[in-house]
Amino acid sequence: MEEDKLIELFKDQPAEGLSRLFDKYIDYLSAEVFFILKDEDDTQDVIQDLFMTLWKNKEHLSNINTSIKSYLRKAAINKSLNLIRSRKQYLDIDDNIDLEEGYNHATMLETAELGTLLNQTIDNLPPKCRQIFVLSRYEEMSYKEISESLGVSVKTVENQISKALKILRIIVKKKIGVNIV
Amino acid sequence: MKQTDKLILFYKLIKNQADQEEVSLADKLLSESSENKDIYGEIEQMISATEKITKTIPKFDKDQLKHKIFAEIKTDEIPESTNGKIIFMYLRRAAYVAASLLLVFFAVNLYSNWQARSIKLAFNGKREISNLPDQTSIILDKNAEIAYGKYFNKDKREVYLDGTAYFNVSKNKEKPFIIHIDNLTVKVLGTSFVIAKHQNRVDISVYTGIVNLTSENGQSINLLKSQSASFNTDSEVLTKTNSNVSENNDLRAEFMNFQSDDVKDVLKRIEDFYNITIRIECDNISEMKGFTSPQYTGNDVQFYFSTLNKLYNLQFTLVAPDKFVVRCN
Repeated sequence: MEEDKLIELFKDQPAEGLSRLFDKYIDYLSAEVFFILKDEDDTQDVIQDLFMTLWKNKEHLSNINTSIKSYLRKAAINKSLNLIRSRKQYLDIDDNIDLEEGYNHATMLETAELGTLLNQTIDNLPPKCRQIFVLSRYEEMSYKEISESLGVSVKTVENQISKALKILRIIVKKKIGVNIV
Repeated sequence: MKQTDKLILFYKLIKNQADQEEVSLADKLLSESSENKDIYGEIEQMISATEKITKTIPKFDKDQLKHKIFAEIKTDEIPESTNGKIIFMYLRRAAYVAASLLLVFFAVNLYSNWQARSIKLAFNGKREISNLPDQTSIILDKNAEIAYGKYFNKDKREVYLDGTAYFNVSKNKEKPFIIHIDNLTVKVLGTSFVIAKHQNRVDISVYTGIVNLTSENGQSINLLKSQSASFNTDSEVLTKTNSNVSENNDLRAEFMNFQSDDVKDVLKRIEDFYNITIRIECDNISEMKGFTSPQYTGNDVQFYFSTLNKLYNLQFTLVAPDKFVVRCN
């Protein structure tokens, strides 16, 4: 069903409309949330919260100025960030990332394409580092936005991103045949 | 500068999140060493290779989740207000009318803003050199046209180009310089480059500084010194190319074609072209006029210094990297 018809249905028959919205977007939204949180239970909690909020704000849905898909995605990302912040997972303490790990990873998967290699490496970064890097790289958030969303300092964001870049750079250099110093 | 800080700076630059000061610093670092260029290239490659990422759909029971959600919702509390609906319907109609009127008002205002300062140069089939209000120099190719609004140089410097032109943009950290051509946006800080429009593509070549290109469909790349790119206006695909920057030298050469010019203006043009600074320690420089040069053929800056020395007795001394002092004898 087209988006504008879905919104109309949600206004006129809210329960049926919510059900259709859920069916249409659950895979997409849960993939987006899981990409950040990397935990199935947390993902379910966020999705449940998202649809409950949508139900409570159903009168305002026709006022949004983006597609409903974009609106839901943005709301899902915000709720994911709220969850991370609420758990106070982040203190201004640096992770010690083993850069050798990046080198070993590159050696093990030498035949893989660069993109596959990098994506797998991103997946295997330490959780805090990965989450911050993913928000910057894929959600296009600025350092200031990430720091405000997660309740950490900009310096922490910079440190985590630079650590991710150091590891990923090892992969790139190995792949293009540069001696790693 | 620490390696870590460089990584962060280049990463921000590639993702178009660097502010004007950071762009300036990056430009300086990239001009300084090939090692910095290598680091930049590696990060660029990494960003490009990770563009397509597969997001896994988690495997929890979605039907169960749906039941949980609906169990929380008490459907017998759904409000049903017919009067409220009718009033809301009229309010919504009124809002649409108001929004339409506002849109028309802004469209008229925008049109009159651009009409106020639309300039058309080179309409007579010749090339022309001109300065914009912020002292940016432009050379328009035959039949090219450039337009800018009456608020140009207020918060930003924005122009619309149709045709081919060479730009030497005056440095201003506070105000980005933005050029719109077809469905492409070109954003610079202080730099020199050529935009060449062809039948179904736009070519951009950078001589100095950093230029950001963004297409309407969201592609974005940065061009550094001596790099080129091509934008296909049919497919709207933007790609870096290996085209030789000097292929566009013909237009750029006009910039250094002096015809009875004042020496002070000549020195300014030399500064912009070669990206150097010349401090003038000569009281009567304003009296020196009538400088005519031979056709530019890839001459280096010493050629012009030597010519000015012979004609006007001016002495050029290098005092720091890319910084000169000129004195009269």
